[in-house]
Amino acid sequence: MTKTIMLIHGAWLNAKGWENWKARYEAKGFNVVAPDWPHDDGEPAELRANPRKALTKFGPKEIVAHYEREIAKLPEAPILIGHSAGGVFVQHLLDKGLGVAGVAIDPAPTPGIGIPLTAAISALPVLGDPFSGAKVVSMTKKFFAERFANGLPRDMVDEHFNRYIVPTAGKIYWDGVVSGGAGPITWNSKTRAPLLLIGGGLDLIAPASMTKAMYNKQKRAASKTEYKLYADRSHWTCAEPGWEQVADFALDWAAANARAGNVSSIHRAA
Amino acid sequence: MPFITTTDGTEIFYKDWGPREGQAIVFHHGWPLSADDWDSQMLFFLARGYRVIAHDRRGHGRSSQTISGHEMDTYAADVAALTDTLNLKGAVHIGHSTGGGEVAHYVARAKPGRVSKAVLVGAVPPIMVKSDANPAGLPIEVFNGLRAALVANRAQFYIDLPTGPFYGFNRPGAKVSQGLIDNWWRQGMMGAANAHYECIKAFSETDFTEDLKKIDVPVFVSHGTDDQIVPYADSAPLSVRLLKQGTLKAYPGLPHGMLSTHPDIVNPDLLAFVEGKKIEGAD
Repeated sequence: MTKTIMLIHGAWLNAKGWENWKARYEAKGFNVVAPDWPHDDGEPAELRANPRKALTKFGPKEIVAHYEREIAKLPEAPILIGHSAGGVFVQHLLDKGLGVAGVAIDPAPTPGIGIPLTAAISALPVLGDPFSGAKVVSMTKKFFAERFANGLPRDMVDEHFNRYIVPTAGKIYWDGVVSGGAGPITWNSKTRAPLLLIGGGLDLIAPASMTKAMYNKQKRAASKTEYKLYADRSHWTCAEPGWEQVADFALDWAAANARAGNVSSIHRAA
Repeated sequence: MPFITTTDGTEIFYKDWGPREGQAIVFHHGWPLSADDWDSQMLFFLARGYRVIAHDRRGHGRSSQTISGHEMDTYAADVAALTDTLNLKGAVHIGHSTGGGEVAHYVARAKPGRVSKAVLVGAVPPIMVKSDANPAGLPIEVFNGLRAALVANRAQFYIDLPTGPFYGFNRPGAKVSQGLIDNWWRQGMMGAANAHYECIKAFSETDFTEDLKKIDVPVFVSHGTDDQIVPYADSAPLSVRLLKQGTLKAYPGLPHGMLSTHPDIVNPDLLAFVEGKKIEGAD
């Protein structure tokens, strides 16, 4: 009967990226928390102007541990919804027995998944630099427009980039792609909560083929596991026009399949 | 230069040296190389009266740089197109690394009478990637690392691989051959980046277990124990167990690229096997 939702952001973003989802879910009567990754808290414009060196200390392992601590602070077990690297962390947290249901939207490569060419090309700004593992990396607006938010109308690119994009640590990529991330995931888990994987047909960062490959591994688990494809959506699916459909589908699925009975009543904003 | 054209219009380059009536030996190169990688073996067998044939896999060497077909089913179909065109009978197929996977996949499907024997050298079967069924395999992150390096700077990556692990030149006391390193780079850069990228999945994630079980002809499995590309323990001994008529020989301390670094040691055993003689030190 949980009324608590935790939203987990991915690389290049912070909690601010969830502002619309948070408001929408709160209007439905849920308690919503969206913790930042360590050292990602603050205004994106300010973070871009002064990238924090401390980010280089935090890879997937450290960030998952951080969210474990955040979950422990909550009054009840939450629904976990994550995007991109956040979608990977959701899978790790579920694997640790946390959360009553999980949604991984456009998840980045989890340990155990081969990266398709599109994702490798998108990772070039980071993985193309052998020293980036120890660096804080900034995204260019061009990259944001062409690969990250290719589903966003051109006239909204400036506004979204300025409002949401933050620097990220190369360590996230290097640890995630070539060092085993936060450790292996038990694909055939008998115990993890239900999981929905959402992929985007136009996603150039985490291509739908990769989401599907993840689903093919996750569906070996005992509990319900589903895959949902939005054929015309990019990696920016949580903020590009029509994000509400994704947000509602994710929550409805999670609420309907959450552990410990279903959420009894979803208060719709009148 | 001779080519065959496959049903999807791909041109496959091949070499075909020696007497037409001689015993045919077909060589299958590894990733991301070409038929040229077999010089040491092709000259050796040519000098002994054999007919030696080697092709460039699609997307490699001089063959077409196709957008698709970079997986084992198509690789094996391309080989079948070649052996059909040449109408080979009782050929011996020798594959190195990825080429060993191609040999297993082809021989398991070959028309009756086409193949008499096969050899897997430093070959990828049964399967490289780690899983519940293959706990001693390499984690997928290793292959993601190869992919990332290829995408980031293929030209440099193709220097680093032969300079280090491929030939064991990173081992203390190794006798480094700059020629081998340069030739590896040359062959690699002749091929297509997309084909090489997709081929990583083909060689690491294809499960050859059923192929190996199906093969009826004698197979010689030859592998260096210091193979830093296809680790010995998770490949050769497991393949031999699955084969009906498998013979294993481990070469202590030899590297993945032993066909080029130690042809004086490896070639006589290949010859013995082709001639149906006992291979010294094999079990």
